[in-house]
Amino acid sequence: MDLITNLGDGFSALLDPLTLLSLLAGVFVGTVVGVLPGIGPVGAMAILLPLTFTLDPAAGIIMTTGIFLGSQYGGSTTAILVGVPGEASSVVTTLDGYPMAKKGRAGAALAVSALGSFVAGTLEVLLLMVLTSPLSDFAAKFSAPEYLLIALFALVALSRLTGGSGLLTLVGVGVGLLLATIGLDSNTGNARFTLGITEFLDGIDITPVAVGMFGIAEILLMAENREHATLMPKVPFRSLWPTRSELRRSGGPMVRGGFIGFLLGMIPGPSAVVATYASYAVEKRVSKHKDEFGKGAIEGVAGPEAANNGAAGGAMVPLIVLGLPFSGVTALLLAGFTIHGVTPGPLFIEYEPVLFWTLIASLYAANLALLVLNLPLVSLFTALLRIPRDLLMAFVLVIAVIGTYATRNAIVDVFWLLVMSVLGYVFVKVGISRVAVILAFVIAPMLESSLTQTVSLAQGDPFYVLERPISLAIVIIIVLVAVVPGVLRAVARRRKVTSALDVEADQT
Amino acid sequence: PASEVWRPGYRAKVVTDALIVAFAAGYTVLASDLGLGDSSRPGPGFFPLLVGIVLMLAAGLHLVTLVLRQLRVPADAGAGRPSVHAGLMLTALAVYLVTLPLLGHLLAATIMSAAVLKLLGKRRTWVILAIAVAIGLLSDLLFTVVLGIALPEGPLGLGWAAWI
Repeated sequence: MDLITNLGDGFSALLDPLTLLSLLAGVFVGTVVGVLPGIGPVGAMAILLPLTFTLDPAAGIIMTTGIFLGSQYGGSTTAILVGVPGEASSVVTTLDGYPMAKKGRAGAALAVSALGSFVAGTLEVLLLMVLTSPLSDFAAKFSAPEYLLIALFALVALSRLTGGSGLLTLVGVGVGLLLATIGLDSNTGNARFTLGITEFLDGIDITPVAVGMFGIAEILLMAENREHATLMPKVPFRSLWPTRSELRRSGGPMVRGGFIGFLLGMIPGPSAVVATYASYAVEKRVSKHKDEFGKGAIEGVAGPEAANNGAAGGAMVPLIVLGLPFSGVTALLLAGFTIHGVTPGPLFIEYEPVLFWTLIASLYAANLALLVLNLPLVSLFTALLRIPRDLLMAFVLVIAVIGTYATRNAIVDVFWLLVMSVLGYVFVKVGISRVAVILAFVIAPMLESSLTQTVSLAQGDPFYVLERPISLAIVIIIVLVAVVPGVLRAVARRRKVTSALDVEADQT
Repeated sequence: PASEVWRPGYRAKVVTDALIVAFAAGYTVLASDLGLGDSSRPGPGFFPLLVGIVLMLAAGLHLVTLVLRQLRVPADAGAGRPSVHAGLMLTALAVYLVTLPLLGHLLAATIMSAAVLKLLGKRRTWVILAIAVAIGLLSDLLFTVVLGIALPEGPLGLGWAAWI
């Protein structure tokens, strides 16, 4: 009953008109900015955070929360509408969201995305309320070996997700890891692979990699097919709403994605990215419509979108309870809290209970606002599809380029965008997974620091990792993920051969 | 036909793999020069060395499988050639990169938009120019005024931030 009473107090604090307006403004502006390719949640948060400075602490924090969630959703919108992911965690959404849009189901994809985010948001608030304390205790037990193994798990699971050639997936992983090593080594401060160019010292930002590999590369492919009009047909607009079948198929993925996202969101690093990939892998595995994945399966949108929002909630756990940001977005969220005189941490709930429960209530309210605003505005977003292709692509290209430049106000980012665009185009042609590149790029810093720390801790003991219970459990999971699908396929092939031989024997 | 969409064949894939192997080899050499440290304190070259080895092995193994497969089945010759339109679009992007610090965002974006519209659509020249100018102005308005992001204005001081 205490929980419900406290939550009620939190909602009461939201009833102030200025506070409500701050929430709605944060959600809407966050979504609009998040829609712009190249900006993404981190860029949107950085750009919009100053808007909150003039507000009182409660309103400021609530608006920051609204921007946080709105920008996450906005990045998914471009992933679905034009196949350009707003940020790394929207990459998976392009796999099925964009094909759905090409089939005239853009409205359904966006609606399911909003619903999935809402379902996951509701779940995350409930979980935050109940599990914050014990979950943060568990996450705090993770150290370098566990982070290393989690990163390896992500790469192994990825090789199962993308299908195709496992070797080419590994090449993609290698390229992604390679790109991430350019710049200053965060452990030693040494410059690596900068070729003496000062601008390379800051390394490559995620924005040119994601926008170049997925956004500009797609535009290049469209330019190549310019003379083949059927490749980008004008999509007739059939329905803004998902069908009953689509809603039914989405329910399970939304709930599963919400849980997966929340659990993985508590892990440092690119947890939202890992969560979306994990959710996609799970849905592809359990779906009765496996052949539709990659061609417009609704589960491929519902699960990852729920996971993306779930991860946002999960990332709040270490932030609220430990005062530690585990991602770029939560680092900016912490900056927003600090500016308004709020210091999350172990004593936050005890010393600022009203603010804590107001924050929890604002998370739920922001998710509700996302659903209330974005579903009616689905027609606004989907109307973008009616704009002539050449105009839309020219505008998207300009916005993508400027958005990439605007991330760090560095012209070198436009250079990297050019390089990544070429690589993305070539990789599509030769069959190297771009998803592998970007996942490896994002998790590379965590992978490297975990690896070096683990090596240091092991002091030459090759079995050091296996002596840790959590690490051992993760190793077992990695082995199962790596081996079991291959074994099952081999068994299935053997059964097929055996039954074919039986049929042949019967016929003779 | 010259306009056929490019589908790389056996030769292009072999060249790609070979280039990746060569690049990874150079990268690995540079990584080893960074210093590998020791088991108690890995150096800055430790992780890149592993990455380079993994990349070399993966690309090298794929190259070997391609060659071995070609010995069993006829090599796929592919189809078409790398797209000229895609190349021209990349050129437009490169022009933006070069002209942004020189001319400012508004002019650079207008030039790039005009080039892209010419490549992607079939419109009259004056329409293309009008749309390109509009895209330049709108994008500048969105980023500099609405979002408050400073963009280069160039020597002519063109941009909403200068006009307002």
